[in-house]
Amino acid sequence: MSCDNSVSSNRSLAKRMRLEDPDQFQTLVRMHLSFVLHLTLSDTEADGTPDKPKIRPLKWGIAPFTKKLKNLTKETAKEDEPPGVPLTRSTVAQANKLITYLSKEENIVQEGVFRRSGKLTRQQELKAALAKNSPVDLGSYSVHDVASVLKSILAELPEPLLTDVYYPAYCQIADLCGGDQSVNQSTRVLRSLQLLFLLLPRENRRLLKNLLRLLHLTASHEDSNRMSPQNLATLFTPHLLCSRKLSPEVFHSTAANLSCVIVFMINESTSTFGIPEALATDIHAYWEGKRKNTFLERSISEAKTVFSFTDRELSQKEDAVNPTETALAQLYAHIQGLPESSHKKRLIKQFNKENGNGTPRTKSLGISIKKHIFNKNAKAKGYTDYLNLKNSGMSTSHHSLLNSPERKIPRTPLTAKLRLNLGSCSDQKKSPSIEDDIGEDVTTDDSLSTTGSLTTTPPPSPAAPPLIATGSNDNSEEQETCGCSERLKPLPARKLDLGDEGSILGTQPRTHTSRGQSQIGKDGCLVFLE
Amino acid sequence: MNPDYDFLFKLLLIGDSGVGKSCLLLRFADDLYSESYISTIGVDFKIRTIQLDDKIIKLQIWDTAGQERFRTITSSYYRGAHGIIVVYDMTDAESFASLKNWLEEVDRFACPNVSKLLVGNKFDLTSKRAVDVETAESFSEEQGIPFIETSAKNNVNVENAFMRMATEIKERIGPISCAGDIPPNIKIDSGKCSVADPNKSACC
Repeated sequence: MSCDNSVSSNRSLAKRMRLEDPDQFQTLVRMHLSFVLHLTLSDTEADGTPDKPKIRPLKWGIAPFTKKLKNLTKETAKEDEPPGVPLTRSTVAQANKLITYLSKEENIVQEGVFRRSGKLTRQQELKAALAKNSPVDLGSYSVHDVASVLKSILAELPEPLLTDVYYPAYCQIADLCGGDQSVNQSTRVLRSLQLLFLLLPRENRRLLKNLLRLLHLTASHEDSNRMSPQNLATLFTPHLLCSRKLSPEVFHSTAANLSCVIVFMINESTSTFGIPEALATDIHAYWEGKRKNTFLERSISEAKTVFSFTDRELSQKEDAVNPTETALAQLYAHIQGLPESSHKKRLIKQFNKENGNGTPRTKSLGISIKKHIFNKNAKAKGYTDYLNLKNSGMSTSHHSLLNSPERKIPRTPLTAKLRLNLGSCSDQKKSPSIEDDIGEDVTTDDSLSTTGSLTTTPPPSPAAPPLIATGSNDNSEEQETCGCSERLKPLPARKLDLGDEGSILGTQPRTHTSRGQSQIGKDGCLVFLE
Repeated sequence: MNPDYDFLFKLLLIGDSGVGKSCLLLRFADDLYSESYISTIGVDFKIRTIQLDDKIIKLQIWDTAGQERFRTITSSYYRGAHGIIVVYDMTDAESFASLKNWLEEVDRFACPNVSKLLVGNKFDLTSKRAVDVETAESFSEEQGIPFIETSAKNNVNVENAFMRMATEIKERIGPISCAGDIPPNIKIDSGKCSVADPNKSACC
């Protein structure tokens, strides 16, 4: 009983968020989707199946936390209004009329329903009548005529009902379906479909829901109508999923490959319209936060240690105009707040992965600065030699990189806030950690401080002592690269313990009320300890 | 090049979905019958080599999806076909009524002198017959296309239907190559057919 209640409350909360804050909702759902499908990607690679065609990366980018996301939103908005006749309320109404008729027991049991062609002239007649919105007696048409007209309504949409934008996502899901049929796998498929359905335009979602219900019902009468889910999927995949622009050859193979996704949808027609648990949690958090109206501050304070390349003024300004990134910060904080579980660990891992390692420009920056430090670091001379050997010409390339327009990237507050890409901290024994308790004794790693490449600079506010470390060679470059440092005053002593290969590239805690410890993991990602 | 056949004929099966095109092909190529009710995706093909008089003929038979949405795929296969078999279901009057549309498709996409054959399938379901032999025959005469009734399930006339098609094609284009003792030379390559004799093209 309580379970039913929570499911329906999840649904209504999700629905409300979708209506009242569609942008936020889309961002949230997309992020969750990127978790599921990203996992797929790495799993497939780990399985070592090179013979399988490479999974296409999602069109909308693997790093949904950068500015790309905003561009994408625009693109999506554009593609929501295709040049042809888009799915309108009246089209949905016409289709629903047919669906209701076909759902009747005596109709659904007809052999070959949806497969048989029916009579073309009658179908044209029926279509014309529906278009004119004149009263139609469906009983005077054969079931096959009605079914064919329903199919042709779907076929004539300018883009498939499941939309072109998410076509690559369905291709990934098809690879999942085609693989092993474990419970784990089908949970993943289900979750991605649930999320993808939440991203559909409202009319598409409504029609899809009714249609899948009808197809499920059809398949449940397979004994009499002989239409199995596979058979129905063969007929409906081209309408629902295949882009209208595909060449006949590509269309052929696509229709065959993707039909397993439609089979899954038909079998799971009800559950695919549910809300994944993790998303429901986030939606609850969203409303909770709205209710308390203090959520933002609180959540940020929960991010124990946050590093930033920018000064406060700049980042606050950006924050003020950038709700997407604020939301993501909120989300991250929320994930932090979840009870300890493997699920949470996974989320954090994904978050770090998505947010840090995946973006080459940040990575290259981190690496270049790290190398910079090592070039100057007498103690690490052996390693430097090795690096020089390995990447001859590196020092010039990183100089240019520091001065290149790419340098501006770290100023994007979120990238910096959430991404701590420190390159690899290889010495895990010394577990390079940052104790963030204010007022503790601080010793800066000798190897770093003696080189002069680690510059500690003061916070804009004494209450929140930041730590700025840059990998730049000299002050002028540092000022250029770390635009704000000149305005900062010397930093009170803080403990910074880095592994010998660790390097910090500009740090600025967002808050001083941190309660936990953070640790720089081996892979350079920030790991939070409770 | 020394192929193990004298002729290669390309045949195409078309007709409404569910009339039994795939079953006819399965019966002819593999002598099997399946009760499964699976729609064809796009196109599929099977090969069978037959002997006609003293010639070895390789039949490459393309089975197409009856579904409207796959028409973009199937239509590109008309062009290279030497013979087109139009199938209807004799228990389904609508599939017979659709023959007109299918023949229009043939006129639109296939070579003008392509060989044609009408096949009324599901002869085994006599009790459910919806299209009389007379109706079908008169339509066949009207269109000038030979007609035959088959049952893929009970293996009635399936062999006959394909042999009839092969014979017709051989008569149409065979003598040319036989006359001059030209080696086997009818080649099919993707989407277009060609006959060795440049003076007399069987297809477009």
